[in-house]
Amino acid sequence: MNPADTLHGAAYWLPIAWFAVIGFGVLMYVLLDGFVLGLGILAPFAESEDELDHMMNTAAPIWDGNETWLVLGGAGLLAAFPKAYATVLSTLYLPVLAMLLALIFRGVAFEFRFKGQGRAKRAWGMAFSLGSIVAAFTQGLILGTLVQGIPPEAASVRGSALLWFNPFSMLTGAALLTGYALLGCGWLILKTEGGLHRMARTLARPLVLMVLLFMLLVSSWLPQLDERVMLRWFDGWNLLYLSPVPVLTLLAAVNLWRDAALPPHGPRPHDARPLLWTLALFVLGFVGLLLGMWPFIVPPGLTLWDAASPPSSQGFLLAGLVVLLPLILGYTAWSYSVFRGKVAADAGYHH
Amino acid sequence: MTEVGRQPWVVYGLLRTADAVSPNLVAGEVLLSLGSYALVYAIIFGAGMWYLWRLLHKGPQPGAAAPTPEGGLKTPARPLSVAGEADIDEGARS
Repeated sequence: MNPADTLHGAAYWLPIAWFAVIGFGVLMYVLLDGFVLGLGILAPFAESEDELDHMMNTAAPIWDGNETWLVLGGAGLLAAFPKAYATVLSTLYLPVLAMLLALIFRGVAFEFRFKGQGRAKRAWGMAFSLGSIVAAFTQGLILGTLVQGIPPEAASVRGSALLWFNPFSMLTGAALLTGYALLGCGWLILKTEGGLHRMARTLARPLVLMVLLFMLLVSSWLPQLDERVMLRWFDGWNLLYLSPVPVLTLLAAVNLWRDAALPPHGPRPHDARPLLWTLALFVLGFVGLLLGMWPFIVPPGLTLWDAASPPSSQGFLLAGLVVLLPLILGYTAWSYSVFRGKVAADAGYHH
Repeated sequence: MTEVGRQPWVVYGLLRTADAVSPNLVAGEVLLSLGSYALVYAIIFGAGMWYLWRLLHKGPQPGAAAPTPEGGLKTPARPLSVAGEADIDEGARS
């Protein structure tokens, strides 16, 4: 049944607006914190402590602003879709806990690594790397469990805490880990020169292949798991209408492959390109997953409208958001533009 | 204190704590999360206190060069910004 038949005006549009806001917030988080987590995933490839310092310094001025989007997504979900918040956070309690603890270590490492020496410094480097890896994997796990569907009754059944422990969620965990590593590579290609730049160039192509393989696996497995997703993509002419998503994905993949490695001859492609094509792949993958979920915020039982808080709450909050969102976007753009350009190996940004 | 005084309500006069508990969580999971937060906070806070103590112990360095005006202005005005040998080294080098 189309909810437009029974819901009118604000009660119909406000949940859609909030869904768009939260989707945008989550996407911004994945794109922006993705490459910082990617740096942590790539940390084991750093050849020295100085090189790891250099990697972290490329992100040090901007990484903490990225967390704003995670907070916006979480708080927005609580305020605008309380039922979805209750279902998702209580069934995914353990992975969310692991993600938060990992993010604490990852974040603190930015401060404490530059205070420690010798063994302590290495230990904080390890905290940065392991924190990033665990956070990336658990985020993929959470995403995979959500798109697969959380039965509405799961939130009220005792001991449903292991719902995320299934092969598909493990696959999405590994997929996001690899995807973030590729974002990290793109970031290092853009922001560094010399040894780190060469390291990132060497890793980029193998990572592109792995990411594409993961995308293929996820998009062929998910429709098998959920008939609704199968119908969304393959019923009638749907595949034709939705074809821009896979076609653009293929286009971005081909371009990414071309620009990831330095050409032996000819002009050198701009260093921003690998990152930009990877960001495009992430946006398309995100849109693809959302298309499978729509109009559910927690498939298979909870639509946007089922989970929405009253229109008065959503409208009130949206008024505040209309002021805040341009501010956040503005200062984010400003801080990225202040710290644009290559970061030299010895140009420390110390807190 | 606020949490204890508010009982048995979680939202005063509107929602009882007993009605607000996630029905699917078992005590072990909640204990695990509470324990891990306590442990992680102890590690992070302990390390922070240690670095603060070391800095206090070292005291101001009379001979150290002041940060250059440009570097000084660009250094963020946050409590931890004044800390750390790294800043002083940086100032001395540039």
